[in-house]
Amino acid sequence: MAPSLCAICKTERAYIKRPKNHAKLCRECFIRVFEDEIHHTITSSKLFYPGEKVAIGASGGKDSTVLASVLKTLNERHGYGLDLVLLSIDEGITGYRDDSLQTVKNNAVQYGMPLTIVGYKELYDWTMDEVVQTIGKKGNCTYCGVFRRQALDRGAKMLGIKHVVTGHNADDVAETVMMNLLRADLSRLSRSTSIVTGDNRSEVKRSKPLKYAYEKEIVLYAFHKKLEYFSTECIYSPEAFRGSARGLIKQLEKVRPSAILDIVRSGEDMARLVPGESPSSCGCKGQKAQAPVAAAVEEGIGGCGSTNGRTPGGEMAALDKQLRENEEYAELEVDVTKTILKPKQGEKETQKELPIRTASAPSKGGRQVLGQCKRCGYMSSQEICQACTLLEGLNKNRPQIQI
Amino acid sequence: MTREVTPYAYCFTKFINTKSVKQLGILGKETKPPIIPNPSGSGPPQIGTRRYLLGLSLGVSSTCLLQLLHENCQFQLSKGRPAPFELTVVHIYNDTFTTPSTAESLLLPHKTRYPTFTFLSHPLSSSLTLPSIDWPSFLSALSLPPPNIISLLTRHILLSLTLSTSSQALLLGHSTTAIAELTLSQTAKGRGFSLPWTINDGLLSLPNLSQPVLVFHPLRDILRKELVEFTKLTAPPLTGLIPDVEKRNNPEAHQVLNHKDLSIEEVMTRYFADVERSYPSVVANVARTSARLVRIFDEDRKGCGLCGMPMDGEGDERWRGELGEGDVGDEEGETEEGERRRREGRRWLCYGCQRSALG
Repeated sequence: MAPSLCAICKTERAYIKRPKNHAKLCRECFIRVFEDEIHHTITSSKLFYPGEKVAIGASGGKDSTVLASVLKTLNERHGYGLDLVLLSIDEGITGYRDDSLQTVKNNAVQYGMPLTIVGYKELYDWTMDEVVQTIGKKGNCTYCGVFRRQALDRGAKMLGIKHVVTGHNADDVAETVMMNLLRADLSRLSRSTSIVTGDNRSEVKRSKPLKYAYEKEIVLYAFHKKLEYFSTECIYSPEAFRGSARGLIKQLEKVRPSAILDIVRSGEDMARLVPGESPSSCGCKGQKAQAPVAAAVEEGIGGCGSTNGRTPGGEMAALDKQLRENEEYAELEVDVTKTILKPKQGEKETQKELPIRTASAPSKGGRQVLGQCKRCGYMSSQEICQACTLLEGLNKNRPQIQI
Repeated sequence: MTREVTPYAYCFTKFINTKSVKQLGILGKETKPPIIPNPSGSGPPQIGTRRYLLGLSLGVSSTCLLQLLHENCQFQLSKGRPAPFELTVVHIYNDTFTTPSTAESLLLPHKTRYPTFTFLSHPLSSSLTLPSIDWPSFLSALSLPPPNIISLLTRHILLSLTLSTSSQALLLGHSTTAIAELTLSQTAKGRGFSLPWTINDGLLSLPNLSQPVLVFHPLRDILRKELVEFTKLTAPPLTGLIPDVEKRNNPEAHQVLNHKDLSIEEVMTRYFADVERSYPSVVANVARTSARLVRIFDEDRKGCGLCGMPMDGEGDERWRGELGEGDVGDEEGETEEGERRRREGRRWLCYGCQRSALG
């Protein structure tokens, strides 16, 4: 059989079968198509404006390395006029982060981009190694994820940058959609699918230009462009990423390669069906310059590169347990509001009745009100943000450990 | 009652019964009995009996629902009250593989066991004459309906039969597990938008449907494994009515040689069989929550020629860029005819149906 030719240029021999749609392409056309699609994402969602200073959240892994390379290429090719810098977080994990940071340093030289590294140690006075020593290997990803979300923002603020791009890909977003359906979290579902996150009031916005790029294609791109990246998974999450949603998505992808993007599309569409959401389907509708912005607080698509959105079996078991307990408690519930709320003498009976929560009452999707953390000033829906709460717990334990 | 232990048969059947009766009660309130003219020709009109249509796939859930509806009727009759409803049971068979006589014979045991209900078997090909599907444009985009739209066609037929038999509601046997599966499989097929139309109870009105139809899922609070248990506990057991009962009850039991041969539905069934066993509350939670999604319908939007969901032209346009379609060559070796069909399809089909029908 004659070797098949590239479906686009029809002259070169096809080397690559695209995971996204099984089109057979040559190396050059694949690279070009991959870049063109990200250009489409950037322009259709109006992610950047000319002259914008943008920090690329760089971990040294494949996603952020490809993101940096593609943005550099597109910035030059299409004249975005972006001022690109690399921003890395040093969690303080010996044997993992120190090596991957070396990769980022090399990338910084190769791409000619300035690099800033922000450490957990300087921000929180804790390295992840120390956190793990204190709380053990179980559950430490929560700390790392919460700390990282803030660290990127704080790093960007230090540099006077208002836009951080991250390397989240289509597989990550699809996983988050499935995860949020499984844990029945509609408000997170509606937030996590937006390409731009970060409240209008928050000083730093986030976006994911690789949102529609398949993980497999990112690997292919890195391979064919001979990019240098660091592929070791975090040493503290060895079992965590065999998550339920991830396994399911991989199976679905085998059945239908387009499933990943179909899930992302469903997620975007469903976000509009969540009670209280805007019913617009277009990324730019009603927004003249920028794509719609969703609040990023605990949006759930964060965490670390390796456990992102993936749930260890434990979380599912915990959710199941909690739901069961709720069911049991619901049976024991007695409505006491009526007896308590008897008006005092002389007081007018104008008081509002307290809403009685029942299972059938329509929920407003649990929308949170965004404020600021009283301690660190970071945006938070609670009085004290998650990071400060976690730190408080850690610091309480510290003296005991030192003894 | 915890949902894990295998309980005493009497209590368990009672538990299942109570759960379905609760839903049937809601249904009874949502429907009003029809007013019929006085048979004597004069005098005041009379109040008729409610009439429902049940879609029977011959699977576990719909068979259980049939039994539960029967028990409900028998209970009322035993109290000396009139039957609460009349039921037409419809089995849609795929006439590519099954002859009408085979389909008829499949329903024989049901007819014997439930003599008060009316049974019909209906060929899938009857969907070709339905006005609710825009066949001319669909067929110009596609030569043959692919197998993965069969469930859509079945649904169309059931909806239209509900209207043509003057039934007041269409009853579907989906269990909690089935609704959770449907939620995730519709999502995986790019049909997330259609979920509120697919799994919610209530009046379903679609642009292509002559009038709204009340759709109800009375078993939405019962897990599949509980229904499987129930089939063994009725007297006589329901298992005799369900073809391939073992295979249906144990989706994971038979080995998969090639995962590519599975359908998205099969992947979901296997996945949820596992989740249901270990984390039943998670399944219930998915089903409950997805039912909270609301329908948005923009009057100006036309409906998809196949599933009838509102179309989203802008969204689809933007997505073609993300999918890598458009300026990039679509399919390798695609003929002009193929390309024309693809373009035609985009005009008439929603995103999900394009993915199902055109690949």
